[in-house]
Amino acid sequence: MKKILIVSLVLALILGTLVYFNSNTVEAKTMKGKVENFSLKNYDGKTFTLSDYKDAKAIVILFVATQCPISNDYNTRMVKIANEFSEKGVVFLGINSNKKEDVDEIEEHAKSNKFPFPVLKDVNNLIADKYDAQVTPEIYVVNGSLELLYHGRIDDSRKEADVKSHNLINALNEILEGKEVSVKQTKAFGCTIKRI
Amino acid sequence: MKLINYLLLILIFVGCNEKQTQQTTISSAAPEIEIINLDDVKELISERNGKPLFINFWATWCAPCVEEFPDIVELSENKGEEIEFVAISLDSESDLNGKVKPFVKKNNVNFKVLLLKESDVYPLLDWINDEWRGAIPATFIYDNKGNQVDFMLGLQSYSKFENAINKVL
Repeated sequence: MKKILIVSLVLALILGTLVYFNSNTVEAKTMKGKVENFSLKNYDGKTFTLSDYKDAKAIVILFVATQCPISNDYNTRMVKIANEFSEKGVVFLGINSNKKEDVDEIEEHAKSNKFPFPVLKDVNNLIADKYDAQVTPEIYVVNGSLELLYHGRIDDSRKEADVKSHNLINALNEILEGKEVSVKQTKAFGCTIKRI
Repeated sequence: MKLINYLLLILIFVGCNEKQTQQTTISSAAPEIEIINLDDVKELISERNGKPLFINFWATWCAPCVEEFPDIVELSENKGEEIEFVAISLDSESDLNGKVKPFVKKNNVNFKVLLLKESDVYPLLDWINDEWRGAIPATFIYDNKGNQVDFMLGLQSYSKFENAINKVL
């Protein structure tokens, strides 16, 4: 009887541990917890590591593309938002995960659009896979501890004049005011990230 | 003579001011593509008249959408009497004449093609299916009562589409 009890307890412990770790993995995949750290290279060869920005007010990770018309519709807005909020301690990191958009193309695109943030090449779309990023543009905002604060779109219209919900700006303002982000998740519409 | 000239002027005036409807055409050979809103999508789904529905959301700028489109056209030729095929473009309204219509014409599309108003794209995403995060192509299959029975995300093939619609035939 005692043996049966011990075996049952051990099994329960094992099962409980498995459920705990599995649920955490599911949470990470569905982006409800912390995001994974990464180190990626910019087009100038410099390496950027997400965890280096632990003192930032927030870190905005932007999955972008050079050839996607939706992503390109947001170029001016991304520059404006990055210029405004970087002065307030927010860090911006662009990521290009598209298989066919090489470093030279990314550099030319970033420079011609005057991006004030690096655009890191995600070789083999590893980070896009880890973050389950699906389209460009698609945004992840994290704090210095890599906790996800906002995920989704920049705003609700390709045409800037028709925007009603400035989702990214609203989230950043709330973060800077020390408030909880009221709308943590929105859907992002754009070009599918072209994976390997 | 003056009266004839006057009548001719009236005819020209009437011709030039023909009322523009939402069904825009650029020539008699160009396909008719209506610009619709989310309420129109809801109505399309609910009014089945006993026929199941295949809706494909696509755009001319979406490479996998363009790649799978001929398979949809072929499938509609084979199954169009059993299930209604509709393709709804998520291109900009400004690209209707320059990109969408030429694409539809080039692909010899024989089923209804519509274009969703840009302002209704996000409301559509929020309404039609919680799992759809916004990537296209996205295909939805409805039974003959308007119940959504399948959602397919990303590039598909003729056989994958066929297997999906067989569930409602």
